[in-house]
This record gives sequence, structure tokens and C-alpha cells, in this order.
Amino acid sequence: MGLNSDPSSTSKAPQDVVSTESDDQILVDACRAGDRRAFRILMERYQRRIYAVAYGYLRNREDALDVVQECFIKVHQHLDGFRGGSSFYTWLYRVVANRCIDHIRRNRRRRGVEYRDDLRHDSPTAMDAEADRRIIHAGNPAALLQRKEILGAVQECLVHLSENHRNIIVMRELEGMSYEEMAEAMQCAKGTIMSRLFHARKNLQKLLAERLDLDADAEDAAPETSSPASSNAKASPTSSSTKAVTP
Amino acid sequence: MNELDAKLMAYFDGELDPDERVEFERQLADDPVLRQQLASLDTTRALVVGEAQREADDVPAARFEQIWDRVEDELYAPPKAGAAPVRPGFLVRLPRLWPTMMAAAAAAVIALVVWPRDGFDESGTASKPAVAVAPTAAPAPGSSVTPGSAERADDVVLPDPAPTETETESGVDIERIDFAGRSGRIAHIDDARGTTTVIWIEEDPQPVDSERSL
Repeated sequence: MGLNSDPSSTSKAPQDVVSTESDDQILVDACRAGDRRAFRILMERYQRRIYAVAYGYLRNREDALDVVQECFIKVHQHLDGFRGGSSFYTWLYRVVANRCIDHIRRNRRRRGVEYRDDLRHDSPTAMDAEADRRIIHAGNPAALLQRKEILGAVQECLVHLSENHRNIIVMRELEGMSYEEMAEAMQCAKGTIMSRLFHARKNLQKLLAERLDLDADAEDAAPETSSPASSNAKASPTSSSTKAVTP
Repeated sequence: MNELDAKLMAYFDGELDPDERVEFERQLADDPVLRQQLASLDTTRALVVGEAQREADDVPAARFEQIWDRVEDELYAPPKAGAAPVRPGFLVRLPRLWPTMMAAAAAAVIALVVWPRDGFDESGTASKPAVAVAPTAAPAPGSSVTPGSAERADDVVLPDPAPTETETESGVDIERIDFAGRSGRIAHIDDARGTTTVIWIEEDPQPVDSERSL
């Protein structure tokens, strides 16, 4: 399919310039003009990312896929509501998150142990420091996630968080929302958001530390089953902040 | 959460302003415990993000195709079969009704009593046809109806109206008509393209005195 990248040919209809490499705004304009192909390109560009966000909230593949389907329809119907003030994917992520939150409210059920949101975590205690050490020394995250048991452990830990804690982790780590955006979404003060995020992370880190430690012990006990990645993994604390999922 | 925890978290999340950031990085350089906490936050985030990405990558492409099929059905499906189409208004339907009207007019002509000729002006001031006429089928002005003309079914001549009452209001002619067993008053409006639009104003309550079509 030809891509007309000539900026001077502005007289062409939107469908003549649409391709998989077109900018989001060009695709949005083409969608508004009724170009079905542009809509499909735009959604396919983000479908796995929005699925990841939905899965982060719902922790269930089929539920997350249902939400993705609902979002495609909703986005198509409300594309005129995208004013262009933020990036398209930011707007899209919010649509997904809102659908997930509605889904959770409709199907609310308790999963695992509910941690209290107001757990106090003072300045680094021995337990917190130990949890940090275990997490860091478990190895490179990318390598860790190649192992099914680690992937399973991370999934379990997220499921065991309270709904509020899991939601705020998803908003921050998967959606990349700022504190102000989260405060607006959760309709609370920025200070509350920071406190909630702090506790959510501490709880998650404790859960991860326990599971990673257990898995490390299990691996030590059965060295013949260890994967090459884990045997090469060495504690290498990262020094730079990792960005949240962004396109 | 103490102040240092809050600052660490804000630094990690990119929420500090530039000056605060520079100051915190100085503090970070001097504090190994702080650096360990930062590294733990980094690893935790990488695990959460990585897990979500792995899960997203695991969904087969065919599954997304299924979703697309359903979305496209929802968004672009044609109207359901059997649903009554929205009928356009009479004026819009009029040109399409023309063949039907022609046939009805032909049948009416066969059985029609000669139009009353009182007030009919044959001086050459032709009365306009009583119903909408396609430009190619315009009857000859001033032509009158005779029973014999009905034999030529393929060359329909419409009955001339009996202009017992003729009013013109802003280019709209209102006339009496006796057509296909109904009589009443109509308005017809001619446009620049030669198309005449006809509107029934009122129908006579008394029985029509013309014979119905056979």
C-alpha cells in the first residue's frame, strides 16, 4: 500500500495517506472521516498494550480480552471526544482503565489475602532492607521472567494485592500516570496517592521477596533443572529508573 | 512513609522538579542504602511491566482476529434483514411512484367521464397537468380526454384539470383534480428543472361522480 509522505499533497483524502506508519493523529482524522482501515491500523498498533493494561487490572485473560473488544467499539463511537490535548494512547489507556474499573465493580470478588491499605512502613526496617536485597539479587528481571515459575510468582503476588493497591500499581507502572492524574482518576488527594503507592509497592516487594527467595531455594535444591539464564544471573542492581510501558 | 521515602519515590517516578532532582542525586551518591532501595524499586517495576508484556505477547494473533471479527460485525454490520426500510416522504417518493401513477391514470382515463368543461380555458392558456409529469411524458397543453384515447395505453394522456378554482400563491398553483377515483384540491409546484411536485391539500368528502377504474 502506497504511503504518501509528501507533506505538500494536503489535498488528498485521508484514506490516501493512511498506512501502518502513519502518525496517530493522521489515523484519528482518517477514522473520523470514516476510514475503516485507519481505525484498524490504529487499534492494532495498541491492542497488545491495552490488553496488558486490562490484564494488569483484571488478572484474567478472557476478561481482559472482553474489555479490549468493548474498548475498540467504544473508541470508535467516541473518537470525536478525543480533543488532542493529550496523546492518543494516553486517552486510549484511560478508556481501557475506566472499562476495567467498571468491570471490577460489576464483578467484585475477593481474591487471595486482602492487605490493609494503611499498613505502616516506617524508615527502612531490617525486613524491608532484606526484601530489597533479595529482589535485587534475584537477578536480571528480563532473565527472571523467562522462567515460568518466576512469571507465575509475579502473577500470584499481584493477585494477592488488594484491589486498590493493584490498581495503583497498574496506573503507575503500566499506564505511566503521574501522581496528579492518579489523584484525579481515584478522586483523592495527591498525598493519598503517594501514600497508597508507597504501601502498594512495599507489599508487593515483600511478596516478591518471599517468592523469589523460595524459588531460589528450590533451584538450589534441584540444580539439574535450572535454566541457563538463571545459572548466569548475577546480582546487578540497576541504577537507572525504568520507564513505565510507553509506546 | 517518611520524608525520605516520599522523596525517593518521587525521584523514581520522575515527579521531582529539576532542582530537587539534582539535590536528591547528590544524596543518593552518598547513601548505599538509598541506592539499594532505588534498585529494588527498579527491579520490581521491571518485573511488573515485564509480566504484563509477556502475558500480552502470549495471546495468539488469532485471538485478536476473533475480536476484530466481532468488532466489525458490531460497527459495520448492515441493517438486519426484514427490518422495514424507512419510507421517504410522499414528495420524495413521488418520482418513484410515477410508473404506478401512469398506469392508474391510464386506467382512470378509460373509465373517466369527460371532465366538466366549465371555465376551461381553451384559448391557448394551457392548464398545467394535474399530477407530476416527467419531462418526457408531459401531455400536450390543452389536450382533452376522450374515451378513445385510453386505447393507446403506451401513450398516456392525463386528464386536464378542471380549473373551476385556480389560485396562485407565491408560484404555487392550487387546483381541483379528479384522479383515480378521488377528487379534491391539490397544489403543484414547478421547479426550474421542469419537475412538478404535487401535494394533496384536501380530498372532497362527497362521493366522486366519476366512474372508478375498471
